[in-house]
Amino acid sequence: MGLLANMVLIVLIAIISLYIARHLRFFGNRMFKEQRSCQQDLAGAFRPSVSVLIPMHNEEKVATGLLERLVEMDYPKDDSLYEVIAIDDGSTDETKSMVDEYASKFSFIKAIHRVGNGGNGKPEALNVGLKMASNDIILIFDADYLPPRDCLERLVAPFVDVEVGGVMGRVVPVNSGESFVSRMMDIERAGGYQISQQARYNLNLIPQFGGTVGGFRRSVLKAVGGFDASMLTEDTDLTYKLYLNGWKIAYVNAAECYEEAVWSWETREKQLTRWAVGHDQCLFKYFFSTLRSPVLSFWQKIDGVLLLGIYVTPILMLLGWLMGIFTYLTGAPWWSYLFPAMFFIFAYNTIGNFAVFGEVGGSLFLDRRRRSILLLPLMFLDLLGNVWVCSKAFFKAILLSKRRSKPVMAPFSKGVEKGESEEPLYENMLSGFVMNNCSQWDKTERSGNGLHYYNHKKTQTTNNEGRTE
Amino acid sequence: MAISGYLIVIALFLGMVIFCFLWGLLEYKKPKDAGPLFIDLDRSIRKRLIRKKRNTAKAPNNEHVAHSKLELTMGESGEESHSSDVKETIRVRGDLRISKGEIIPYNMIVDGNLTSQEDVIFQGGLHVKGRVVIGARNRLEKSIVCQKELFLSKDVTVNNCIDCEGRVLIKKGLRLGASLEGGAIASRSTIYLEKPIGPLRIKSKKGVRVVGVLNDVIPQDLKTIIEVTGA
Repeated sequence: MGLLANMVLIVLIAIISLYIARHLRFFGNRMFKEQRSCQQDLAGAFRPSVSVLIPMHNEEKVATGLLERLVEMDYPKDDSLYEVIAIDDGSTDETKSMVDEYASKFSFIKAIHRVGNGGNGKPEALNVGLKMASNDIILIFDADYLPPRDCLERLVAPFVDVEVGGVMGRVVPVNSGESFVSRMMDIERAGGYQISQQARYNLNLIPQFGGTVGGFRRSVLKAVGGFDASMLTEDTDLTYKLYLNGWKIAYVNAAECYEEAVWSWETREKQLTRWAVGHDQCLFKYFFSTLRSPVLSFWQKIDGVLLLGIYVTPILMLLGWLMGIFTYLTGAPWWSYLFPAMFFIFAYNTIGNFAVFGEVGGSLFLDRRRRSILLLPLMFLDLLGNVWVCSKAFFKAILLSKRRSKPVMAPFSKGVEKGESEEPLYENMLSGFVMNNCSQWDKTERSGNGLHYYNHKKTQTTNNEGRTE
Repeated sequence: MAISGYLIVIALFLGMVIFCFLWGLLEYKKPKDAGPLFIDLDRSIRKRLIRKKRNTAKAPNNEHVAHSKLELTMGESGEESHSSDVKETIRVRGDLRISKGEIIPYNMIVDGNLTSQEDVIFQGGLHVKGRVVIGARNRLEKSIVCQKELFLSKDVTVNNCIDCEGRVLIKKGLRLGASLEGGAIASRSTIYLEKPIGPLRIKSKKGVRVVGVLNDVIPQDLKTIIEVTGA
């Protein structure tokens, strides 16, 4: 029994070691090698026609911030080149009137109000917007985002390349000082984008579309069937659909955009649960097709599979810890005593949601926020939380995948009440257990402090200007 | 004695752990770098280009010297037109040679080299992993992205952009950016021009050189391809 446990532990350590090697490769590439700029030399000179989709659900506190930014955007406000489609998905607050006001003022802003079937989640809202969009490139922004004036020009530049089907920009939390959670989110996101995504793009692996601050060619999006509303992370699903069909996703580190990060453990848990369940759904759906794909290279297949399993690593970690203790107590061979300690070391060095601690440190160094590197040990608390939440999410994903033939609708955690919709929202729900806390509108309860934070911090800027792009 | 030794080791270990967390706690409680990362929401590519243009104007004008990262502003270069709506993209494994006067109605991803003879019309965009030789009077209605050298014969029209990781060699008569979407040239190596073109945005990592006779700078192996294909 003890020997079997040890064998399992060795397999677990081998898997975790693969992740360590992967993250060290990313870190080394981003810090010391030449970076690919993703056609940014052509930014501003190439302006294809663009439709910006903004899915909204009860966004009255933040909607005007984004719409104002899109009005001020450096992009020709010619109706044939630029349109903004605000999709109000069954909001019950003032979002509708705000969107209508902007639509009446600016001809390039269009408003869609989903009333009867509204509120079923972001993918459905995006599919409605996609039907209405008429331009070649579809870009997506969540309502609490604040893009700079050059953001669209930077995001569309990679579409010069016909091999590029999608694009992703960098997300930066604006409210990092709001709470411990938002501070951790801030440094975690820095690692995930500045190092991991950029390195994956440099190495021609699989940079991921993150659901917002990015976009696709309309023709490609339609060819792969749009956004799959049965997936909780439609963005990861689309990433794999594109790669398996021979397209690439470009990552533009210079296309930075502010977001309002979650700031409480409760909201963070909901968000992480949705990401983990959705990601695990994609793991079950794409694991074998990724390995068998004739269009992916060997390293793309390896990276693709490891990326799919990223939210399974916390449960492997938990399993490793438990088995380490078990082997210690059952008097297994002397060398097995090292395993519990090794697992803690691996855990500490490897996982921090989707970015390793080394990557987080490297990104803070590149961003010239070196004092924040001192926060790295505190991410251990975040790691423990992740292990717990992702382990629960894994079992939810298994339940979901077993009954995947039925369409799944994801209700939002705060928003329209069940009775307001003509179609019953929970008709095809698998069970309350599975979908509880898994909402595609998981940030609907927002503080709306984005611009406030930005304006406040603008005055103290400058210690991090001139950072590496 | 042995127990006190263990206790000292444990105390040292705990001390290290606390020491490790202490700085993080201090930074969290009294942040010197609270964030967020500063992004200038009003930043603009156009403003930066105007600034660079001023700097370029001050630089000495020597046509045969490479100007590192030379940038000029985009201007009108021919009448604007909408490019055709190409929906299909095909991937070609290996080299591809296109005969005189062909019309290619696809976007194309070519895994090898691409050569085309005269008067070919590419209605879609091109992504070529190998070398590219484009024949005289070809028309590319979208952009071309190339991972090795790119040679454009005389009187070629490219409606959008050229992005090349290798050297770009351009004969006279190039028309670029003729579509509504705009156009520019970017290269991670050197751009050789037989005749100055512009006003147009050119960005090259190793500089732009205007040479009297382009044949002098064409590498021998590329010359052979050009002669064999008759481009």
